[in-house]
Amino acid sequence: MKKELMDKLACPECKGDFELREEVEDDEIISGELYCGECDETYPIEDGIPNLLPPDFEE
Amino acid sequence: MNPNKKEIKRVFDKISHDFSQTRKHPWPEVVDFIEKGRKTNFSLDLGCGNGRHMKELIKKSERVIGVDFSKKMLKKSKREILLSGYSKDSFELVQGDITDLPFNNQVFDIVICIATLHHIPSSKKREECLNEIHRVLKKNGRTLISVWSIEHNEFEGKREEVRKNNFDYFVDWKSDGFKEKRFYHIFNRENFSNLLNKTDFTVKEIKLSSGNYYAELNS
Repeated sequence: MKKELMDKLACPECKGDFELREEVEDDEIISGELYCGECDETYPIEDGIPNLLPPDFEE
Repeated sequence: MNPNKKEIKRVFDKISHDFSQTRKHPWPEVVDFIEKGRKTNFSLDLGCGNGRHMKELIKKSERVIGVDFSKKMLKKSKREILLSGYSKDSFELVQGDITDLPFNNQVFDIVICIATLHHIPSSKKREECLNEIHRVLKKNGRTLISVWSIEHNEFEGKREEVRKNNFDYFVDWKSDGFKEKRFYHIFNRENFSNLLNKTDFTVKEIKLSSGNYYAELNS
């Protein structure tokens, strides 16, 4: 994902902003974490694709 | 009993390869909808599958975002879009749940949700999905939703059975060495219209074409 995508992304649960953490970049973000402080939830970015499935999705 | 989202995702992950092979071409109704609009900044394809409609959106948008709950499907769409010669700067992929969209309010000029809403296993969640689309769509944005219609040839001689089962329906997916059941909620014009009218959208038009209903909605 490109860094500019951060402006559009929101937490799937509270719709608040994310903090980008531990990012590994080439010309775009390859891996890292999106952290929602409001929900205290972390969402992974792998292979350049953020996984923003809500935490209860797999239940 | 209807499957939960996790089960539906498992099936899509499993069939992703064959699914992609049999869905190379965009639907003409979707191409018409995209082509008749002006050039826009941001478009969203919900349930993007192998990206066949994303490629059409790219022609008319600065950037297209594809959402699917299946990571395998997203990887397919990335490959297909790049193989078709489109730049990696023209699109983004996000793994997400279309009933809980991970985007800010009023971000997109166009949102399409093609042959996807009918895989959501509860009426409450289908309504939530539409309201989420409304939330992320800009004022004056355009939306196209398609669902499977009971008028489709598939249901010839089965319509009474579909109605009796509250319009819930399973289709077998057979491939080398495995068989899976895919869940659909089938619509008639009345229940599609009722669902749309429960949401924040204004319904511009509902059309029946090739056994699918297409609703064009304004925010």
